[in-house]
Amino acid sequence: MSREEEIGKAVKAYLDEGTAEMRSGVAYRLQQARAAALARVAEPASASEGLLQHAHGLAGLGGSAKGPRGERPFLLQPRVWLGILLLAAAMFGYQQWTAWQELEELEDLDAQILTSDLPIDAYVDRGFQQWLTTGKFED
Amino acid sequence: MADDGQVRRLIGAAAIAVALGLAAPSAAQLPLSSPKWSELSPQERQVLAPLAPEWDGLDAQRKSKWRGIAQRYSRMPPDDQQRAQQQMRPWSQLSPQERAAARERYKSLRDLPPDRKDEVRQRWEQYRNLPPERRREFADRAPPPGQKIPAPGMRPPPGERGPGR
Repeated sequence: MSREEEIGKAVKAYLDEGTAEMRSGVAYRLQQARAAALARVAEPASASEGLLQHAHGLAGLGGSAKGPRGERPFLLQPRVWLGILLLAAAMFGYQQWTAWQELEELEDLDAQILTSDLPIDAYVDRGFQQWLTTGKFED
Repeated sequence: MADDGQVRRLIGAAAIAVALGLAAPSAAQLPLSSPKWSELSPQERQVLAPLAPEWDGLDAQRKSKWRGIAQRYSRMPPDDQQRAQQQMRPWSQLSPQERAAARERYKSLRDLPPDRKDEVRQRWEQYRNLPPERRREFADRAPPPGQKIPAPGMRPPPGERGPGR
């Protein structure tokens, strides 16, 4: 038995002793974590894909090659465009709604001005506005 | 949980959506109809009669606004109806800049307390009775167009300052 194997066995015995006293919940979580880590190791292609996407920012913008798991590039996926179109439609709808609101407010304001006690001239005569503001009436 | 790549792709997709939304016809381009005078209803023609000579030359937005006002007309008290019709033509003949300034001016006066509103009405009558040259003096002293004149409510009551009140 080599020296490394001896050390391995000693460590295993030590770890076994520790895990025997471990609570079942902790053991379960460790088991889950191990399974997840093994699953990632089993898929090296997806890990490298992630790195590539990170490096290229919006990967999928160019090229038509499918991803390693046979997926289409991000921007060629119909559901992505559906989302984009829905968002664009929502923005357009909001713009239209805002414009209608503005038109209605303008209508309301103009109706108030037309029926106000003061004539239109009073609102556009800058001399009157100045006189009203300074309050000077020296005659 | 989304990784960096996913977040970036989603941000990119959202940016495309925003660009599409903004590239669509702008907010000012509402799908408004632009009926000719002859195409208005008899009730609209009756209410908007002062605007008849210029109606066909108005843009769709202004036509829509006036038609909206015509709809409100039937709900106005008779005094308001009469006043609205009298003011339609002078209002319509103002330039867009004058209308915008008048709206701002109206809003500043609208928010005054009732007693100050009465005072403004009285002072308009007094101002109208001033000799034309005196009115011109005030107009010359007014800040240039575009510069806002403070609302009268922001100043002390005129009786406390100007002689002759």
